[in-house]
Parts: sequence; structure tokens; C-alpha cells
Amino acid sequence: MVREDVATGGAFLVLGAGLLASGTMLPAGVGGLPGAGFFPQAVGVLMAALAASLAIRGIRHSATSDTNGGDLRAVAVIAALLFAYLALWGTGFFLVRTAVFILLALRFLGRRWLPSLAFSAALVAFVHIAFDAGLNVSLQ
Amino acid sequence: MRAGRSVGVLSAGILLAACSAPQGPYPAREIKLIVQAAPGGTSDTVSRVMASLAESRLGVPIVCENRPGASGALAFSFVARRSPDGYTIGHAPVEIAIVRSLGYADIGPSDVSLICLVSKTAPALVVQADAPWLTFEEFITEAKGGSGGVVMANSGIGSIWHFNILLMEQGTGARFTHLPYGGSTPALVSVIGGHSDGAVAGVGEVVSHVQSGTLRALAVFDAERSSVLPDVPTTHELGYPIGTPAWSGFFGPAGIDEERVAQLADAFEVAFGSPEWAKLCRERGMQPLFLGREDFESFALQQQQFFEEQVPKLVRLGAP
Amino acid sequence: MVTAELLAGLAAVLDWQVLAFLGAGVCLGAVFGALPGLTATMGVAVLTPLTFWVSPEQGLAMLLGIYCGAIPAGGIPAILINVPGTPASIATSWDGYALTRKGKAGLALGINALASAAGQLTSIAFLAFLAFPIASFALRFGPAEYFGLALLGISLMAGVSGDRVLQGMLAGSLGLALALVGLDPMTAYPRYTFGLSEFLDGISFVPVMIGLFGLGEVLSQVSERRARAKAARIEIGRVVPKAADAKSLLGSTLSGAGVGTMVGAIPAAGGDIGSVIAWEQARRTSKDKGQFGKGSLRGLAASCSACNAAIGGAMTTMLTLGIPGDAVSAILIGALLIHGIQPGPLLFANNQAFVFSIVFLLVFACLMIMAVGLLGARPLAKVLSVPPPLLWAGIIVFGTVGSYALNNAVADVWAMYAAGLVGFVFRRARIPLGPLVLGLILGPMMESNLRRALILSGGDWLALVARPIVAVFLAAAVLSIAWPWIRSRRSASRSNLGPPSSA
Repeated sequence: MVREDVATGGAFLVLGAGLLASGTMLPAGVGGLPGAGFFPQAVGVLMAALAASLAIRGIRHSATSDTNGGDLRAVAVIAALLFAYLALWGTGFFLVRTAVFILLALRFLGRRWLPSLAFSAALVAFVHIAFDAGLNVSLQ
Repeated sequence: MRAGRSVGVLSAGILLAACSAPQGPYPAREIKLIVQAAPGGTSDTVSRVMASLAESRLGVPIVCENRPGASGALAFSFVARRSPDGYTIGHAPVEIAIVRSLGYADIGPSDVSLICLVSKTAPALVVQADAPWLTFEEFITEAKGGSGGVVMANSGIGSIWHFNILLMEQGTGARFTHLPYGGSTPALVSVIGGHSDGAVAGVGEVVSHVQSGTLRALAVFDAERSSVLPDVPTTHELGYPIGTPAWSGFFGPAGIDEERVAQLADAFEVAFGSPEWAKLCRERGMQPLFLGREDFESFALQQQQFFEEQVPKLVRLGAP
Repeated sequence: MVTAELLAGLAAVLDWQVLAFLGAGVCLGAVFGALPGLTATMGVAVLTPLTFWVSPEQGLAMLLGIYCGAIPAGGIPAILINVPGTPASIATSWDGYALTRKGKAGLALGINALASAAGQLTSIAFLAFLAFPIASFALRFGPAEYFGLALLGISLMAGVSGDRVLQGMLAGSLGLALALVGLDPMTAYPRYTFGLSEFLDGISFVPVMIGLFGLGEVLSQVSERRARAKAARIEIGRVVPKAADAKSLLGSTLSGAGVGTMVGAIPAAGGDIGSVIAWEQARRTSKDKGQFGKGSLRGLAASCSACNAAIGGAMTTMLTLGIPGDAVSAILIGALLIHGIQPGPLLFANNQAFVFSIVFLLVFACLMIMAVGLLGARPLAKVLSVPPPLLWAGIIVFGTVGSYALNNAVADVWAMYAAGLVGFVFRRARIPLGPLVLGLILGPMMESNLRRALILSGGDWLALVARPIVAVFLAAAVLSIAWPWIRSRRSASRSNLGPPSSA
């Protein structure tokens, strides 16, 4: 069994079935023409069929052991930082928040304090010049 | 955040915020104008040109910001939620009177402070340049006789030009097969390419194609002839008083101080009188029309009422 | 007669101020194209108001410079850091980044500069000599033809998936599903919007692209950073390809340019679709198919050439018919109108000198960006020696701010981050991302045009196939879906007979 394929297939099978089911609740077409629900159902069927065949292939074949480890904890931390940064969008002091975010991320990735501080200041200054002043984007 | 501004302006802003009073000189800092469409289109050009012309009168910059989406509903709601201090205003197109009827957002002209109206654009019916129909009557007769044999491209279900096609069906008894597109341009391309028989779009959008000989305009949906298409008859002349125009105005959140609305309206009126504005209107096929606050209010409320009555009757979302 | 017009057009352009504006536009465009989060469309849109205050030639020179500069520059981050700078350079990243990992970043950048210039020049030649035939071909595209084109594009999902065909098709179907969000294009009925007006217009494509390729790549590099630190190998190598290499690339470059021009000329289809079709076409006609996506010079040349040739195609439609061929030319039309110039058949008839001056502006812009690309290749490749964490921070910040700046919408930043997570998970599960993007771009085009075509045919599905262009597209689509199966059958039966060839 190839676990990766079974997992991918299973996840998409659920998604495809959901699309198919929700598609039937959308308006059907009038006068022999496909309506708003036609395409969601078609995509759902396609997705479910592909997913099922991937899952079946995964179950039949023998596993090729290539566990790609990788540092998932680091990704989780960076993603958490990112979403915290995004959740604070619109609360003012955008440049300061951005600088703090970069600083924290760089520190976490093992850069030293001073260079990280200098880099985040430079990056934020560039963002200010390019977007705030240059493109008139109001970042808050 | 605009740290680069001079200290004077900054401290004036802080002072103002501290007093949080509508008194004191207005405007003291830059005004933001929210545009409900993407950069480059007519709404955007109107807003940018008007902003740059009105700036000198107000003495502060007016900065345009594009927030497109949901027929403008996102921008309207955004402006309506700002504080009514006169520093955030928005471009108000006809859609502000329609979006509630379509269910995109619960907002309409009665929920905001209207400032002024600056232009109007009439719809025009166009067919391919070598189409067999030379007049509006011939086209209508064809559409009445056939059973949906005449295909009308529209700029999207619920859009102002689609709505005019529905009014045309209602007012003339014609029946069309409707072909929805995502905007006026692809709808007109569909007619130029001969994939559909006709389309309705703003005079300004069709005029270049009419002049270059790829489209023929059969009627302008208005009481008066258009200045850019003077040879094209109006529907009113032909005995069909149908059609509702697109328009451009400005608005702010409900509850802006009347003095400030008057100041803004005055600045836009000065801009309206400039030759640059007249030139833009000529190029874009818009009819310059200035309505001050009160006239704009009664016009916009009347429009809102009209759409609230007609949209549920004519537009059926979910069915072509 | 024509020579006089031609010389007048050339004279209008050979003015130091006009050339200065053109150069400034090219450099600005290069910045807009090279930074993930800024696109060519944005650059032209933002700078259009500035051109109101200068002469038409100067303003137009600046805008065309941005356009011609941004598209080749979009390939640079695609090659160096696997993050396409503009949607048109998605296919460029497939072979370009693979070359960088092999220590051939210089060569990849050099081919990007040269093939981009070749693509632009070819398409400009089409514009100058075959404008009207191309325009009338573009006008023949009705709903059925668009449906055929979209279906052909979607059928390439298998081809761009490498050896992970089923996973790729699944990713493609996810792209199609995401494209369903928003108002139904035909009936304006809200689908999967969950009552939020932010979703009514669907999911914005550019933030999703930045997320999938930019943030997703950053996250996956973060997870592999220990392993990568050891394997780090920074080599730039030669920039200009050897004469023999260049010669062997000529065919795929030119056919890429042809495909790109045609797809670019069709309204509502641009360089992003064109370059994928060109890449797949180069792959199918190539002897070393296995190399595609793993650092094939031909694949790189075809995709670079095609996404740039789309410029000339879009300009052809714009100038001859007054119809925008893509988002940038839609804004250009507005800018021309401001200057009192009306694109359309009359422009060709009455003001040929102006058309020629546009042609010359495009040619000069193309030569300028080629020079910038070749001379800048080595300095730009220094990006590779920037410590990865700093590069990641830069990509994240520019991606974030750029996604927001597109529509001033926080929802777009959420879409970008969510797409970043999807991109990371897909990279980990080794699911190809190319098909997802194809589905996202082509889904709405396929659905709305299929339904439009059915309205026109009165619900008759067979009537669609009866149109010649559609029949050709459909045949090509069927072939490209069936081909991998046929090939795997053949190789399976062959491997039963002899030893399996090393894959």
C-alpha cells in the first residue's frame, strides 16, 4: 500500500463527493440547458473518479519507502506567525508589525539579532517607499 | 501610515483627532476617494480626473483607491463603515442603487451621504455593421416574429445594460435569447464577431466601434440625442420611452457634516466646469450633468425605488 | 507611400525624450515583473495617470516599455527562486528553476532574455505584416471556440504533471473546483460564497498564484532547510548559450512564438495559457521528453518565447479591432483614448504612421529589455547567494503586500496564505501544482463558454463539434489525454520483451 496515494485519494474523494452533493442543491438548468449546478456536479464526478482510481492504485501497489521527513515544526511555527500577523491586519502601525514579524521569523530561523533587525528595517523601508508612497496603497 | 509627510500636517492631524470635532478648518489632510472598479475603466478615469481637478480647490490631495468587487458592493460598504469626517468618500455609480435589489450587500443611496452627480451615460443598442437591420423598428419586428431567434449579448445578469435589455423586452414586446458575458467589452466583441445579433452598452463604450465601422447603433435609450452619436435616433423619438442610464457621482458615509458635504460638492462643481472634464466627457461619450446634494438625493432615491420595484420583476437570478 | 509612413513612424520614435521614456518604462516594468506581488497589469494601470501630462508618444512609450519589460522580467524570479513574477511566467519556472538547481542559472537567464526577445520580435513582425488576418482569426472565436481552447488547455493537465499524472489531474480538478466560487457567470447565482460579498467575484487568481508558488515554496524550503544547507551549490555558469545550443533551440522558440501570438491575439486568453500550450507542444515534438520539467532548454525557450509573443498578439487585436487582447491592453486602450487616439480599423487606415511608431517602440523596448536581461543576468543571479531566510522574508512580505495592493482587499491576503499552505502540502505529497493553476485559469472560461455555446445551439451538444476550429481543438485535446495511456501501453508491452530502459 502506498499510504501517500491512499491519503491523497481519500481526501479528494471526500471533496469530490461534497461537490457532487452540493451541486445538486444549486439551480438545475432550464429548457435542456445546463444550469448553475451542472459544472459543480461534473467537477465533483471527475474529482471523485480520479481520487478513487488513485486510492485503489495506492492500495494495490506495494509501498516504495521514501519518507520525506523535513522539519514540520518549523513550518508550523512560521505559519502560525504568518496567520497571527494577518489576524492583526488593519489595526494600525503596519510597518512596525511587519518589522516585528520579520524579526521574529528570522530569529526563529537562527539569524542573529542585529543583522535581522537591520534587514527587517531595510525591507520595511523599501515596502514603505514602493507601496505606501509609490503606489499609494494604504497599509494599516 | 504616511510617516513621510511634514511634521506640520501630522501634528495638525493629531490635534484634529484629539479634539474629534467637526469644527476647525476642513480639509486639513488628504482625502481618500474609494473607487468601486479596477484601475483603467471609466469609473476609475472619472474618479481620478475629478479628484485631480478638485484638489486645487480644496487645497489637499485627493487620493484614489480601487476596491473592486461584487458590482461595487464591497467599496460601498467599505465607505459606509468609515467615520463620517469627510476624509473618506467614494465614487457612486448607478450600481449603488441596484446592489441591494440583487442581494449583494444591504446598502443603498438612502444609507449614505450623497455629495453630487457629475455625469450620465445613456445606453445604446448596437448590431454588427453589416447586419440586415437598419432601424430599431426592423430589429424589434424581427425579435417579435421569431421565437427567441434574435440573440442579445449582455454585460452580465443584473448589470445595468442587461437591465436595459429587459426593459426593452418589456416596453416593445420583443423576445430575445440572452447571452450573458462578463462585462461590456466581451459582449460587444461577440457582436462584432457575429456570434450574437445585438447588444446594449453605454454610448461611450460603443462609440469607437460605431465610428470605426464595426458596429451600427440603432437607438440611444434616452429622451435627447447623444452628442457623440447625433445621427442615432432615441427610443423616445421612436415612441418607446424606455431605458435607464448609468451615472457617476460621489458619496460619503452617512452623517457627514453638511458644511463639509457642501465644500466637497463645491470643489467637484468647480472641477465640473473645467475644460478637462468637458474633454473627458466628449471622449468617453458621457453627458456632463451636475446635480448638487439635494437634487442628487432625490434623483438617487427615485432610482433606488425604481430598481427595487423593477429588479425582482425582471431579473431572475439563477435562470438565464 | 507606405515607406513614407514607415519613416514618419520611425522619426516620431527616434527622439531622445521618447526613447528616454521608453527606457524608463522598460526599467520600471522590469521591477514590476521581477517582484513577486507586482504584475505587468498593475504597473501599466498605476502609471497610466502619470502619462496624461506628457505627449502621446512619450506616454505610450512609457506604458509599452512597462509592458515589454515586465513579462521577460517575470521569468527571472521564476528561474532563480521558483516564484513566477507574473502569471505569464508560470511555465518558465518549470524548466528554469530546475536549471538553477543544476547550477545553470546563468544559462537559464540568458535563454530567458534571448527567447523572450525572439518571441516579442516575432510577434511584432506578425503585427506589422499580418495584423488583419490575425485579427479576423481572433474574431472567429465564438463561445464554442473558446470552449474548445479551454478544453485543450485543460487536457494539458496530464502533460504538465510529469510522471505523477493522476495526482496532477486531481490537482487540476481542485483548480476547477476553486474556480466555481463566486457568482455563476451565466445566471449570477451565488455558488460557494457562504454569504460573503468578498467571494461574489470568485477567488482572485494572482494572490492564489503568489501563495501556491511563492509562500508554498518558502514553506517547503523552510522544512528542508537543514538538508539544503549542505547541498547548497551556487553556480551561475555561462549566460549566453553556445552556438550549437542556440541553434537547436531555434525551432521551439519560433513555434512558441507562433502559438503565443495566436493565443495572445484571442481576447480573454493571454500569455499564461499560451506559454503552457507552447511548452507542451515543444515537449510533444521533442525527442527528449523526459527532460521537460527537469531543466530542458527547449521547454524553457518555448515558454519564454510564447508568453512574450502574447504581447504582439494582444497588441494586434487592440490596434486592428479596438478590442483588448488581455488585461494590459484593456488599460492601454483607455490611455490611448485619453490622448485622443482611437484604436481600431480606422487607425490603420488613417494613421499608419502612428501604427508604425508603435511597432518601432515595441522593437526598441524589446531590444532594451534583452540588453537589460543579458547584462543583468550575473548581478541578478547573486540573489542565489543571499542567505535563504532573508530571501524567504522578502518573498513573504512582497507577496503579502502585493496581494493586498491588487484590490486593497484583506480577503486576497487570506487567499494568498491559504494557497501557500495548499502549495506546501502539495509539494510534500508530490502533487504537481501546474494543473491546479490551469484549472483555475481555464475553469471559468470552459464553463461559461460551454454554456454560452449551448444557448446558441439550443442545447445541441453535437453542433459544437461541427465548427472547424472547435473540431481541431477537441481532436488535439483527446489526443493529448489519450497519448500517455497509449505510450504507457506501448512501453509496458515493450518492457515485457526486454529489460526496462532506465527512466
